[in-house]
Amino acid sequence: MMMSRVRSGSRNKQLSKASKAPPTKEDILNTLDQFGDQENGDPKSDSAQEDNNNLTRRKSGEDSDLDGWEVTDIEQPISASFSHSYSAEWEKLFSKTNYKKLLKAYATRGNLRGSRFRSICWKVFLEVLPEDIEKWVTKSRELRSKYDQLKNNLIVNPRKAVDMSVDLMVNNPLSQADESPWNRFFQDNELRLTIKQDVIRTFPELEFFKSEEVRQQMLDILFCFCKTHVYLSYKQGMHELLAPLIFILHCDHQAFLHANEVESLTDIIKEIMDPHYLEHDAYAMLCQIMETVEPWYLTKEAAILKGKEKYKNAMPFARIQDMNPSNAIVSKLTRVQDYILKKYDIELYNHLERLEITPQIYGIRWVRLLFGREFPMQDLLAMWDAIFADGIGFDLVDYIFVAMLLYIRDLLLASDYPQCLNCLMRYPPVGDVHFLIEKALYLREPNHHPRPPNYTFQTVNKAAPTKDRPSKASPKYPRTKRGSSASLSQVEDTMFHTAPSNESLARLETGSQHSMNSSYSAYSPDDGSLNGSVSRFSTMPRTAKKGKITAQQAKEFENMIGSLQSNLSDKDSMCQYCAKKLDIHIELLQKELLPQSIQNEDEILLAIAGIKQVRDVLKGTLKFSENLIAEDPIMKDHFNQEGANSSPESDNSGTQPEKMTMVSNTTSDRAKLFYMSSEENSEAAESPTDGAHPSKYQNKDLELSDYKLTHGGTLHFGGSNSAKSGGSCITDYKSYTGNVGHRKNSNQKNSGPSPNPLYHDGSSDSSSEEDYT
Amino acid sequence: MVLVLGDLHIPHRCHNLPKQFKKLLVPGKIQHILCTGNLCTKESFDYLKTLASDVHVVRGDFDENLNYPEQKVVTVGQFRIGLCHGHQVVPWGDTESLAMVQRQLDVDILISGHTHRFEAFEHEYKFYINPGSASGAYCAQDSAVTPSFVILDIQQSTVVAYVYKLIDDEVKVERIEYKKT
Repeated sequence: MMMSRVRSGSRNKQLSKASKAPPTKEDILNTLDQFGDQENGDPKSDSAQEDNNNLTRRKSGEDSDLDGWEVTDIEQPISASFSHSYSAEWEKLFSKTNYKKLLKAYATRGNLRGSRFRSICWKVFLEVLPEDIEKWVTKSRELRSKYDQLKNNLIVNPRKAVDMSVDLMVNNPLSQADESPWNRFFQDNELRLTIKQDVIRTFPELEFFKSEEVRQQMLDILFCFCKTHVYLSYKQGMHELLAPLIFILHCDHQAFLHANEVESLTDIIKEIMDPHYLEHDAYAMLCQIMETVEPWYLTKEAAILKGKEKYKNAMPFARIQDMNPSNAIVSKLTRVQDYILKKYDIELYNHLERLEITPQIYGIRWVRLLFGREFPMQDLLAMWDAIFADGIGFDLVDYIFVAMLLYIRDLLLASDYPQCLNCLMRYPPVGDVHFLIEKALYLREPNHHPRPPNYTFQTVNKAAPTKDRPSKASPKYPRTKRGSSASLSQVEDTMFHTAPSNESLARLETGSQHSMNSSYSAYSPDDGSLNGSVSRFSTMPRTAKKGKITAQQAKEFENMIGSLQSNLSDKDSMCQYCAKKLDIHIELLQKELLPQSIQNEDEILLAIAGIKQVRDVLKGTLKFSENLIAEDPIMKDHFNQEGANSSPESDNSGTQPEKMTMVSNTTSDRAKLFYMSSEENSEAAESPTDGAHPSKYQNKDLELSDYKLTHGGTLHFGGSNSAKSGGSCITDYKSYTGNVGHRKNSNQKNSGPSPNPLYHDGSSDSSSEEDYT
Repeated sequence: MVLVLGDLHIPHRCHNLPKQFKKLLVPGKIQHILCTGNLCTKESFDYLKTLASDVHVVRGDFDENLNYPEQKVVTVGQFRIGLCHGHQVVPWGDTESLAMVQRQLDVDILISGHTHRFEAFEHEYKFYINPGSASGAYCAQDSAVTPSFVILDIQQSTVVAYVYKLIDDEVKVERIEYKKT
């Protein structure tokens, strides 16, 4: 208590008083850090001043049930206080009336990393210790004596248990009677050997687990657990659950021993942290964890018994995981993949389904070990902080599971079966585990948690996926896309915070258009190869719903959406009007032009075709192909510039299905699209063959890019229906036709009838007309 | 766990081990087998191999396999255990003669057989074991032989011998403790 009051003074004072005991090196370093903070004018220094009325603030925080408030409230004081005096940290963590709730928030934020009471926090989360601190001592005494008893009863030593009263007929090494201690001993030995095999392989990278003492403790704990849970017995993986517990207990005990030398501690701390009871405490915690995790370890033997029945029930085309629902872990994993993953990333889900990678292939290990093998120890502990703090049911596991999948989604989407498996079995290193936790929280309750930034594995390590990419698919495109995806959230957030302007609207639209197109092109026949479509998929925007939505903001957004929608419909009607007008004029033009025989008729027809294309785009029946942008460097730059303007596209997950149906409906459109892209390709392919006319070739090449620029540009603006006014569309379009005409003229001047198929297309009016309309 | 047995004489004098013994002897419990010889055939040896991988045999006067050594010393834990069939030691089963062998081999425990009679005793602070005949095969001096074998449980400086005898179709167990001084 003394300490905490001292703490509420200003920092400098606090230090001088708090360290009546000679200041340790740690203390000095800490003060140095704090001075640095104050100089920088960090927000932290503000909070330090506010620490003065800490107590009152917290009180009010408790009364009002605003979650966010409370969290920020506890945040500062604890992190500011700990690492000074041992007992002060204890006070801060456990002395509040509703400390458990605060502690949970604290742990979820990953702040226990440096704590010296992590084991106790875990005990509280796991309900090993009751919420009432007064009962801690009695409860732990109870648990410890229970374990002692268990150990005494369960670990039999037939040699020591020799009393002549026991019949030698039973008490001899070869006896097979059930009550014979020798028989039990031999049976236990088998179990012990299996456990030991695993125990000696626990976390081989940590020196701690190589000590014989620790191994013996683990062995005893696991053995006792197995003996008390006969139906479960020992399953591989339990040791990996136990190891971090022992580790963390050991660390905390070391800190305690150190603190015990430096300062005088209260009895309760001494009792709870007694290193002598490491084994006992670990056992109690393991039991609590297993309570929840147990069903994931149980494999029902019944499944084998009713094997015949299974054949009867088997549905045609049923997936393997559906056919064997008796297994809790399998059904859990299937549920995670079928519901949660499908909901947030249908694309990834489809990909995994297509490759027939069932979640149990990799997921059983993930879940059973609570991700123990997937992360290095320190990260794992942080992960467990969150999982335990979240509740004894470990619900968060499902969402972390999905978050982990989402993290490597780009990698997965770009990979084939063996690569996917390799990636899933050997999960790539994660820069910040906390990101996964935030993501998981967000996935579960999008309304209560801020949207985490959109890291994927790609942004961390680019080397792996690029080599998978087929050279055929435009090589640069995905990367630029990915670059923009990193900044997605940033742009998006600013968008949410600023009032809706015309520009943001435009971005939204281009985004949606874009995403639509990417899905579109994935279906287009020109990239029939699997790899091609995969690369397309990978460039598709995130389909997860996003938004930093709190209750207040939600209303704002609703208003925004309303105004956006009305805006949109306005633009739509305008587009329709423009399209109709264009239609009429095109008709007129055609009527007039067809009977005449003009010298460069084909040019004019091409121009008309172009106009028709624009009209179609305006109508919304034709979508501009992504190829246009992908193969055009300038267009690409345009995209980048606009900020990752593509950001909002991620918001359009809702519109996705609707687009899909559109795709299937308008097959004719697809044909057109196909033609368009193929035209481009043929042109690009053809141009180098014109080597016989170098001057023309050069010329044409130049013009080509020019053409593409305007061409793509037009389409782009057209695509963003409402982005620019209809007028700008038209002017763009004009420049486009003008350019084309120019190009054709130059072609003709240089080389008369050229081998360019486009030229022929142009000359035969009927075919070109059909194709373009 | 060390299984000590010998003088099986299968198939010459006995067709098999008693079924009660066979039931007791299961793999997994025994680490070493010390056999005093007179297995006679390779089949018997193979059977012992199924019980434990570490089988030591010395040559008896009826063994087919002539490559078994006459005497052998095996170290288990802190104990040096000498193994000898015993037909070479005259008079057969004589304590003084066996003590000479014990001194020759410099062992803590001397195991011998041939007499087909179980014996276990301490002599001059050394331990002598004769496991008898596991199959209950007759011998030159005695036609009514009680089948028996011995299990040694060796822990640090203590040996506990469990003696299994088949008397009236029932397995009887005795326990004898020996401490190294």
